[in-house]
Amino acid sequence: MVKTTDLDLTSSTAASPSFRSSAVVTPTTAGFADGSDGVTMSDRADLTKLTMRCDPASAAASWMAVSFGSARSDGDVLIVGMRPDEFWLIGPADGVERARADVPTSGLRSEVDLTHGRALVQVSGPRATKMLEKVCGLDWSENMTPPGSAVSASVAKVSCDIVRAGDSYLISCDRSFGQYLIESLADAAQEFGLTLGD
Amino acid sequence: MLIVPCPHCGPRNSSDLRYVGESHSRPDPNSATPEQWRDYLYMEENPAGWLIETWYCRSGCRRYFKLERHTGSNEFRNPPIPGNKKGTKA
Repeated sequence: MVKTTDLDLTSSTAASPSFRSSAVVTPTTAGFADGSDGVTMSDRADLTKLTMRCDPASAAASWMAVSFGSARSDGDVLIVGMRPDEFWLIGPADGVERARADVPTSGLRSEVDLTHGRALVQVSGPRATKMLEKVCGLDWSENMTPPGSAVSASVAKVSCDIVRAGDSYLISCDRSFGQYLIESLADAAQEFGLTLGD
Repeated sequence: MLIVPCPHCGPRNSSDLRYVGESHSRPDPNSATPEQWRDYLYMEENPAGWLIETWYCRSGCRRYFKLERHTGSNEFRNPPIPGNKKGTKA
């Protein structure tokens, strides 16, 4: 993985002001961890992410009890209707395993553990929506994407899956884009005050 | 900016989608003549007018669907049709 400190900032592209991102050129993010009312960002990549594909009319899909584009909590596990025939279980490993064991096998087509394949960032705080609006073209007003929505969209030009819970967002992308996504979000959050969570 | 109506995700910026091309039905490979196969692979109608085409929602639902678009005005008409990559010729 490319670390911030490994980036060659002397090349003409990186040195160009239009390409400079203070999130990239700042080795640590401590410089803008001052906004208690702004945006809090936490790396949640350690949560287990299991994707299950099944026939939308099957018993397995009924058990999920979420439609495409919505999410619900089942204990400590988040069940997300991410695509028309694809559901994600997100949560601690034991919780996801418990939920997985409950899913009926009827109509289930595949299940793949994406834990190590996806980056996952949690962005929260009263200005998180404002921050997301800077880097994602979707309408984030509450009547279009209310809490409990699950959408897939481009965030900072990266295809991401996003789950909204109140003012908190879980943003997931392929792990090879994770470093870039976190730096982009940190950059976007700077003006609102960024606090790094656990 | 072109706003494309995805049947699953709703209106989306075209940068969230991939334009696949004109929607042609795939001939049966067991019975198609070389000419039919060549037409399927390479020949486009490219009209200045209404065209049924296939799009792929790459940043959203990851589904193929068909749309009717006016190539001159970029208008869309009729609801998008969920489908697959093969499509069907109008």
